[in-house]
Amino acid sequence: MKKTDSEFRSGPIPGVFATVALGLFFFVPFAIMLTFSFYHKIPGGLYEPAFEVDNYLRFISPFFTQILLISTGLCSLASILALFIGFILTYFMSRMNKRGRTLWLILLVSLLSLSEVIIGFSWSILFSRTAGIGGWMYTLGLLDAPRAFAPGFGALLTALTFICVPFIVLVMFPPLTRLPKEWVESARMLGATPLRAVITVVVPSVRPALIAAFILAFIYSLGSYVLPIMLGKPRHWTISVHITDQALYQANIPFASALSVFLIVTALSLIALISKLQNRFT
Amino acid sequence: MPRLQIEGVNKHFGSFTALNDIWLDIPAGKLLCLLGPSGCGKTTILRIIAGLESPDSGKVLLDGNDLAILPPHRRDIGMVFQSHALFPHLSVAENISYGLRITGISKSERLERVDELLETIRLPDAGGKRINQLSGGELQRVSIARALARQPRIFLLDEPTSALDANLRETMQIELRRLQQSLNITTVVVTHDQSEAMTLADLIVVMQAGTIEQIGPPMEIYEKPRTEFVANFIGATNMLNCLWDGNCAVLGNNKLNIKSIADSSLTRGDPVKVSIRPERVELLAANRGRKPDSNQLTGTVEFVRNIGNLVEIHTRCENTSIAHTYSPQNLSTELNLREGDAVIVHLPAEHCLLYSK
Amino acid sequence: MFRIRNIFLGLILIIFVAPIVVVVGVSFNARKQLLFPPQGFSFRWYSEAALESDWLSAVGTSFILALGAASVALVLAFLLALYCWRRLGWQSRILRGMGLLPFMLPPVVSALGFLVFWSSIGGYGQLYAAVISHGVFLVTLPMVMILIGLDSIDRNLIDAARVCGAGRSEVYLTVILPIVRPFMIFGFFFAFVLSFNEYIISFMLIGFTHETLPVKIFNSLRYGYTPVMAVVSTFIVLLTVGGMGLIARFGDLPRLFGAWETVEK
Repeated sequence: MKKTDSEFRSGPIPGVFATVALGLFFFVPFAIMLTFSFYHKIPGGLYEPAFEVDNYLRFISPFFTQILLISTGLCSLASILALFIGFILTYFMSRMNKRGRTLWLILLVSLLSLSEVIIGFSWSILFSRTAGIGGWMYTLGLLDAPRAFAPGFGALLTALTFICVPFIVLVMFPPLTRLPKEWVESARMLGATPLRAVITVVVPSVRPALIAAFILAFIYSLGSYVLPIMLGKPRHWTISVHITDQALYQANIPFASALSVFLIVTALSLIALISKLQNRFT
Repeated sequence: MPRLQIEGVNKHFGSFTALNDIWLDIPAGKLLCLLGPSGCGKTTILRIIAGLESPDSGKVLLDGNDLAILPPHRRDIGMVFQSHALFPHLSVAENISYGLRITGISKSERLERVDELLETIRLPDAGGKRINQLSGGELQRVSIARALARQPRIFLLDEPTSALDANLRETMQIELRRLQQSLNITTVVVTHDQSEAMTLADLIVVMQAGTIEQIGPPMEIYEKPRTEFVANFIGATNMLNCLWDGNCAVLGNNKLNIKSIADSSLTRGDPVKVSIRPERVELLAANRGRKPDSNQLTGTVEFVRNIGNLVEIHTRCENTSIAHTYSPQNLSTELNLREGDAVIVHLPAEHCLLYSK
Repeated sequence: MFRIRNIFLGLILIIFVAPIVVVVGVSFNARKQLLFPPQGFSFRWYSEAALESDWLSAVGTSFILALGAASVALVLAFLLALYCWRRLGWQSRILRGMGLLPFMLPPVVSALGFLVFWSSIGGYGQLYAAVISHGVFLVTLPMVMILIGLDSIDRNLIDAARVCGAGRSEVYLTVILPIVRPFMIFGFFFAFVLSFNEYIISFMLIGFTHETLPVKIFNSLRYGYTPVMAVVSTFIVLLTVGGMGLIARFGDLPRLFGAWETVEK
């Protein structure tokens, strides 16, 4: 008897094909990178097959500790600021009508897609002496002389926060728009001020999403290469800048690979942490 | 029109038994209603007939031919889905002619057939409309037209009116019944609405938990429900908890004679249930000195409501509430009762049904 | 409350729009100086950008790269989504995860991975290497969108088509594909815009052979500012906002993003 399946769906072929394609062009590269991270660097730009952990041992050095501190410090600060702004913005967006939401989403998605080069370029103009706030403040009499704010820590932090906010909204938008409006309303009827209602009702019910948004924004900002180069001083360079620097300018692929492996492991464990937290909360 | 038979069909979803040994025989040109609460397996039967599910065992026969070898698109069946399932990317006319196009019918023939069907469903000008421009009733009609376009051998409808509001629902039921009779097409309708089943069906199949409780013409099911479940599911009924006394049921201190007793295995003291339809209950004035006769109980009126075409009176006797209904047009036969009035409730033996357990 | 809300939203709006306004503004400066508000008004730099062949070739490279990458991403995303649709087993969860991973990992590590991969097998510096790498890297959003499209298909529609006489391939061609088509178009658009804007992978793979527009802007910045950069940046901004506006106009952007979370699980 010929069986007719009740659930209409694709056969395994698309899955096999996609797995092969992604495996070859996305996972094999990571495997090669992992292999390279154990290779031996020869002075002069080449490397030879080896199995040594020297590249990883370099992590235990003041140089690397410095990179790690500035990376995590800068990116977590930017993520927290972005989380704060992004949460409030998403909350207000969730209470808008569809038109308002759509317009804000267009803006945010555009900013999310916009090249970091252009964002970095615009902020470097905004923080410049002649065409930026340093100049305007002088014109308004707030500064004695026009000055540039970039490169500098403040400029870099601002731009990183700027690129993280759309990311936060993307993660926070679904849970906040699905939250029943009546929750806040009933809290208000029970005597809570709007702010108190949000803090006591909204924040606790989206806590897993808040944590996820923070972590994803953190990883996202950690991956930025262009902004630290354009808006920061060399001592503000994050791990991403050093990976690129090692790979392209120092011609040290093994060490760049080791740094990448470290970054992947960090990112993956943070993502695993999110799903663990989400499972616990739901 | 062909005869449709289902022979010993079983279906499991994992450990859940959806259908347990189903036998049905639907005579050519008749309409059969599968009636039951949600999850009783009635939709599964429909999907098995359509070929959208395959049974674990058993057969579906169309004029004696086993359908098992045919996938759904070869079965030549018309089906109306509960959610109407019209294609949102196609116009009304394209929806109706979809099956004809797939079968490779020529364009001129298709257009002709679509016009004819739009006439039948009384939406002659709707052909160019988009699906999202239609009202609930129109959606239902278009989906009926689509199902009938290929002149199928069997017509299946899954909860055809459940998405409509109450007034429209009754109109659609009457339309559907007339359409089916004029086409004389063998039809199976799934519903959980007993009045829909009573309106449409030549035969009603009452189902529960994957098994058939009773098969019969509508009035037989209504008048002689074979089980307590059927009695409760079809129409309203009074279900009285009694004890068996050897030859009659006992409610408190009152004996209730029952005319026909099918169950011979009852012994004295067994708990039994006596069912009687509210419209079969009679109320008598509790005049001074009048003593309750056999099958009569004294009680107090506790609730009266008049909903226009029906008056309903609840009387409390022996700690049980018994409902009685009558049409207010028959005023001459009724007493003018109010809450708190004493009354005698008569449960005629010929209308009492007995269920064990 | 409403006052606070409006002040907050206004402030955020200003901060979000400021960089765009400034870039567009300085592109109209009359003289070759970085000034905002612009001094004078001229289209001079626009005509200059249109005449400079190396900027034009960068635009061309970016277009070819984005078209190719979006096509690769679309095909891959469609296959992934088609397989994961209506499947709950571990295979489908792994494939979904594979599709989401490129979006979640820091792009710089993917870039380095692609770099070592293509220099190992040959292809480093070739445009096709960048096309494939971008395609794989940008698979996530098209996949999410196509999955949303597939999930929006009522299972009864498919049953209805089958009962109406449609076989498997006819169901795909007459029901599934027409319904999913808009989602595929949006997914393609998205991947196109993202590829057009992408910097680090293009830079690492073909930065020294084929300059894309973002790479060209970045490289030029080292040799000092010219208003032409602002002009091409304005062009990218218009392309990006226009693309997203189109997606929003024809696709339900709030719904697309509202459903994001359900797919992620």
